[in-house]
Amino acid sequence: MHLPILPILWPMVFGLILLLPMKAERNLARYWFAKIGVIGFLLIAIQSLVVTYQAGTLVYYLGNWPAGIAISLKMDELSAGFLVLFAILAVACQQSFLPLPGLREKGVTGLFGFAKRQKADEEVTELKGHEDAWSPYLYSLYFFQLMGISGAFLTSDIFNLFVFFEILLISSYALLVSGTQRERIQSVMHYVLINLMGSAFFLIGLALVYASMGTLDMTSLVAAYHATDLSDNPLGITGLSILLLVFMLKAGVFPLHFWLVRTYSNAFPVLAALFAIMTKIGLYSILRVHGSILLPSTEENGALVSVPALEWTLLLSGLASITIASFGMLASPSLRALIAYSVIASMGALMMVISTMKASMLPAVLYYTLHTTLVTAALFLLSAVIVQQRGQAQDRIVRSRALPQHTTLMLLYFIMALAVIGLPPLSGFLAKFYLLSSVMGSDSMTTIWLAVLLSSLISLVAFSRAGSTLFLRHAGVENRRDKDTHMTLGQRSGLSLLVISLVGLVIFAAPAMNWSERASQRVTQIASCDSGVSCQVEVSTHAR
Amino acid sequence: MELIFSIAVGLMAGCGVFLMLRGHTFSIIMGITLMSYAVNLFLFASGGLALNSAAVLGESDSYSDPLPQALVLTAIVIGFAMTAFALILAIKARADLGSDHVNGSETNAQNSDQRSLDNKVARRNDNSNNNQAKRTG
Repeated sequence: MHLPILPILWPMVFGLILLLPMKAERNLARYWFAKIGVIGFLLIAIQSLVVTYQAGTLVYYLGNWPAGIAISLKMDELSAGFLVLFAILAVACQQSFLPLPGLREKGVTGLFGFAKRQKADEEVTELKGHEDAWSPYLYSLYFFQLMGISGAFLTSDIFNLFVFFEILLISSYALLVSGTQRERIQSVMHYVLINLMGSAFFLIGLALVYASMGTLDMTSLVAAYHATDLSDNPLGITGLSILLLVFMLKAGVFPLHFWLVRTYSNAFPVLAALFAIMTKIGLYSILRVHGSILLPSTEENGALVSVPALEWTLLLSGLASITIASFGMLASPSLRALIAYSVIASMGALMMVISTMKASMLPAVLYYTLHTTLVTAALFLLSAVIVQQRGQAQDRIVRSRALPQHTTLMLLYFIMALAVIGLPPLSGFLAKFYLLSSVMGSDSMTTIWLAVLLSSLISLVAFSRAGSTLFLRHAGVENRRDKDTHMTLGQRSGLSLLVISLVGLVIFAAPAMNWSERASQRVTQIASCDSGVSCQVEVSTHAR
Repeated sequence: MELIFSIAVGLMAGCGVFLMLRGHTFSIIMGITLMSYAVNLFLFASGGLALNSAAVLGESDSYSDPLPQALVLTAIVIGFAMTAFALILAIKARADLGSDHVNGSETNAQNSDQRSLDNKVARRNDNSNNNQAKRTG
């Protein structure tokens, strides 16, 4: 059974095929090929979720090396669920790839496909001078991005996690730098440099863990950490802390969040929607590496390994992120900056909840992650449409002429704003309620409740201000019915896929919570996986 | 040996951090390069330092841990590719923004408001100069 490696191989094959040089007239073929690729990816993800529900954890040893030597991939409910979430985003983004705002007049009607087939030929001739702005190879970069992210979800080896991080980072650099805006290259520069430093620190942390524990496989690492007394193992603790730092950088938590807002608000908005999953990779890695080592498996026996410094770091940086994000939301000049700050606020809330270090908070964390990823991506896709329809004003929160598809967009914005603020009846309310009730009775309950509720209030103010300015305060009566900027079929389907998933998260809340409970058991009971394929790898004693 | 090794790693990491804290992309990339050398050596040392011991079975009496060597090899390749990308990006940024400062320009650092104010003042001065020129002309 080769299912666990399929989500990595499938996008890799598509990426490699799309890398082949092709005539410009074949761009339409490329477009359909890419569409088949992402839809197939979604089907594989759903299949893996179904299989893990039936068969439990699947462990895959690369190259069929014996356990303990092989690099292993692990597919369980947790990774399969994140894969499905990610595949939904990937399909929605691929559906709605949009024209670059500045290039419309030059005839580009779609980055990843032509909206109007009959115009394709003239567009290709007009594109000749803008190769750097519109490269057909973006397709293959997109697939390498999918490969890196699904690899990061599936791998069970810390060094392999590093490798997949680098794959997803280098494709994200290249995707982000596409286009010609001045601000964009500057923000990408910041993003690249901070992530290069992050990679260096990842290697330092990993070396410390290996030096003290003698293994990098996550399963045996848990056993190794539980077998030793951490109070006389400073190297092991330092390694874990440095890894936590790196994952916090990926998650965009204070004080490592400064790259996030600029990168997200200057990126091509559709790509920003895909990058909604990026911060969650940081969170996922924290759960996978730190959660499985530090969290107790049941409620009764307390934490096996308690590191108060890590808990305090998580609590304080979560609190600082949520505070800074709240001020940032109020001060955001554009809709995309506002969404980016709401990402930071949600990550801050998650970090604060994780800092309670109880196994009971995990299902709520996972459910909230599902909700926040979907709503962020949906908002970014919507902001792409708004940028497209407002012309010069882009998505800045200022008075401008009315949007051509005013009512539809306002309705969509209203639904998403309700979800992101956390008002009933959408998933935001349920997720926040679940999150807050999961920390009931812990020491930091008051802090968490106060911070989350206040930031919800502030986001209510910020999102209503942005919405009323964008949709209701338009200048004059001039309402040019600009047919060109109307949403394409792909954009409509992408947005509706995300909105339907958001609504589905409420209607099918019971199955979703069932998933989050099963998945959170995989975090805490990592050592006793039930596929039987020698999960209890004995701790290799390290020759010193 | 451990002392010399750790001094080398520490020196390179220190210089790397110093350079990374500078404002120009060139020094930052140099800093990252130094940092990655230091990190690679550090990673290599995580398997323990030993003299005269091969990583391959049957080559010598004592063996050293082969895993860190494999890790270092991979890390070097990845670091090389990443540095090359960052360098190209820095060159592109230098060409597009006209400065190799990470914030686009030396003065752009914090206050673009100040800059636009300066522009206005400069424009006003230009206008008054023109007027004077007209008058004298």
